[in-house]
Amino acid sequence: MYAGHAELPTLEIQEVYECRTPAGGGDTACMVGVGFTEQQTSHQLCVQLNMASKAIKFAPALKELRIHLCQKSEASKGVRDFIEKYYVGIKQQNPKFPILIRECSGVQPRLWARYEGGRESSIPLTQLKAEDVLKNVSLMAQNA
Amino acid sequence: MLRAPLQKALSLPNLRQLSPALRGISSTPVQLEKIEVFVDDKPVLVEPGTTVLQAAAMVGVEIPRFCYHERLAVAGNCRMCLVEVEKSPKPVAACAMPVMKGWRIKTNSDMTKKAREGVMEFLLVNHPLDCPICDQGGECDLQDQSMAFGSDRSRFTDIQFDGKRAVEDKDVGPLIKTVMTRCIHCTRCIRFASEVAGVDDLGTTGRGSDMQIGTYVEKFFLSELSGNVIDLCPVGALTSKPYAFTARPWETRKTESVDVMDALGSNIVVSTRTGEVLRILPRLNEDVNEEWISDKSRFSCDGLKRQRLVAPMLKNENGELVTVEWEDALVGVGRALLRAGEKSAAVAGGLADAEALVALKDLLNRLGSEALCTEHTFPQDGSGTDLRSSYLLNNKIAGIEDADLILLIGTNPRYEAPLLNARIRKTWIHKECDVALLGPKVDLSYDYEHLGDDTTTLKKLASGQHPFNKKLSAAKKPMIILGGQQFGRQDAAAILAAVQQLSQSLSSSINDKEWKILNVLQQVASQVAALDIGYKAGVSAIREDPPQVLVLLGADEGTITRADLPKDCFVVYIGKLSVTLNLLPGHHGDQGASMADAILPGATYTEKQGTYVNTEGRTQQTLAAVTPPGMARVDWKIIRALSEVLGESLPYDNLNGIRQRLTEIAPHLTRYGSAEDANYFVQAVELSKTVKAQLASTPLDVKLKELQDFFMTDAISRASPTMAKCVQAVLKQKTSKY
Repeated sequence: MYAGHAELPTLEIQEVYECRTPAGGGDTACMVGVGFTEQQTSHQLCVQLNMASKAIKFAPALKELRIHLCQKSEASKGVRDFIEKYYVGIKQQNPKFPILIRECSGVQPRLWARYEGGRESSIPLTQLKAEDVLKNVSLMAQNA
Repeated sequence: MLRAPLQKALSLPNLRQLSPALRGISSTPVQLEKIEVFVDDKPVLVEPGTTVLQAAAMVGVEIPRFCYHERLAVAGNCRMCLVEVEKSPKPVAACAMPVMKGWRIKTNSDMTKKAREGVMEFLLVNHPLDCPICDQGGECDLQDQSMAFGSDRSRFTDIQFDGKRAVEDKDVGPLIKTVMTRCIHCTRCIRFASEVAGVDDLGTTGRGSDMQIGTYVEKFFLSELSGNVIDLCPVGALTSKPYAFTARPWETRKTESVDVMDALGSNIVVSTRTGEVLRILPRLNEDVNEEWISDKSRFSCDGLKRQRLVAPMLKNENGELVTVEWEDALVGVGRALLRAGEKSAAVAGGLADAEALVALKDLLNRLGSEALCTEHTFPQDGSGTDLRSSYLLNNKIAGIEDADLILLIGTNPRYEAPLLNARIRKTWIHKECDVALLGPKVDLSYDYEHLGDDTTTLKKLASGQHPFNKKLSAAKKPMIILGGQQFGRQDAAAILAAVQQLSQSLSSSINDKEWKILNVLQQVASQVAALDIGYKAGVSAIREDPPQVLVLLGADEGTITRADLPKDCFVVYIGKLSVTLNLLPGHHGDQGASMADAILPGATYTEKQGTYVNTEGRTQQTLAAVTPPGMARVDWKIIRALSEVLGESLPYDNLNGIRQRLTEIAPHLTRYGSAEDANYFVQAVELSKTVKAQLASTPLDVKLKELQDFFMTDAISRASPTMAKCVQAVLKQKTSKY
């Protein structure tokens, strides 16, 4: 479904979500939690994502995820929330898969993914909400 | 022992500064009004109980001293710090005398100068005229201060030729050379031994001109911190035996670096001359090693020169390793790696720097391999190495000083990290801090409550049913330090889970939200960086899926042997010492055949600018003091060159480039000097509940139990003749009746 995005968008990730049409109930869409419409309330969205987080399966080509964040900054708040809310669920679904959470004061929060053959891509998570961080993680996970 | 002045000091309110090695007397922080004193007519506001010397230091006036040392109890016996105080009939000893309101201290008056000249003259009357043959020459306090404060003429005329005071030299072991006639009886060494090292072997005998410093009976002064008395000695009475008559301080170049002999990353200065490491001295870092280093850090540097690999080698058709050119070696290794592709693997040893670790991981990842392991293990169950807080000494080394209860689990910090133990001892002496140990009974140099070495105790502690839990939950600032060696056990995951759950159960009652209870003491210098970068801890991945090419990045411990590998597996060793060649064949009886098929000679920590992350997560770097010997090259550059041969060129070719890559992998890896906090204990505990493993019944054990175990633990110290002598000395001491 993401075949059109060979290179991940780095800055306009929000727009990418807005322009994407809701998927037609395919499994993938459910799993990554992007098959929502604008009418849904944030609560519903949250519930759906929460469930979705439990179903994130990483593509075999994805080898490693690295999450960089600051321990205190406002820009990293969403990432911190994401770790508190979703990390445990994702890890339980993908035991032994390295999701390296590396804290460092003052850094721009960023998600790195390493795919087969040492190919890497990254996406900034500045000022994103926990749910958006989760969407980015699913996107990266599927984008192999 | 000279304790009388210390007893006097106890009546002072400023106990923190002055309290000697007497336990249980801790100061209550009472805010007292500051008092004003004048040092050379400069006014300064100080807290009551501040000594004259400290008050003078506050306005930048340094008073000469021999016996006074900031980190030791005040002795007040050298008298060099005598200064005049207005309206006082006699000069006062600045190091021991607390200031009184309105005192006018004169550090440059005629009386002060006369007092100093007098003291200096008395000291020199009995000090030999040794300077040209004395190892302390050039860094001698007595030399410097006699130039600055001594008299310009001598009254010493030995017309009777009866000579100066003579004292027999003592044999205190293979590290410290004594010339006791040079001793000025400052007693710093005695105080260091009894307060910091916790070995009460040194003392004084006799009075007046018969006074001697020594061990009274013939005995070695053996401690893991003994070398520090060499730095403390203000004269040439205690000097370094391995360094004797080697160099003068003005001939050497000093390079600030970081030690890699344990996981603490003590700060050091490497003295070099003509491309050779001559000695290693401590460098001040209050957060890590204060101003001490362990004997292994200080004296194992002669191991850097022995058994070095100086040229690349490849196995020929007869199975013999022969010296080859770099080009041939790289092509040979490259060919094997290309053939193996994703069936290649790597094991990183305990001394690898982060740059080499990153380059090797990038290279193998590009080949499609994920089998990058560290020699030392860490459980991969639960959250594994995702969360840094699971494998760091989270509360930091300096944080120990605030703890009121320390529980050591499966560790002997005295020999695994001597300076961490010195911190615990410091806290134990000066503060209200209790220590308990779960593990084999060892001598930690302070008293502790021994909880046995049974894993059931740990289970009970984790579930809150042990009597000690009461004490733990009553503690305001408890610390639990888990020894990294326990991760080598079969039930490592269960041990870590139990300790995590215990720590978490205590955290709810802690008021200080920044306080971290869970602390892991790693065993080797490279481990934290390797886990930060994303290496798999432990070699089980290689055992399960034997590779066709195995790269050993300084991995000398023999965790993987030929027996674990397929017959045709090609083994590449990138490293500094030929220990692998000598030891490993013997390990599994494969005589004559060596483990490695190719050897790429690397650089040691004194020969490269490398990043190391210590057990508390502090990133530090070594600087290149000398060049690697022969054809040896910096490790990461070897891997970079190899990548080019493979046609998979890594996208960095200088130090800045690879450091940029380090930042991409984990940004804290280039935050030199700082230790980044790690959090998410709750998530780690939640995931630890999924750990299925059960605690085994084998008791908790540690490898380093006694002093002789301490000296030779890694490739460098095993190659060091000095360290070998230390082991011999300890064993010899054991047979002595003292």
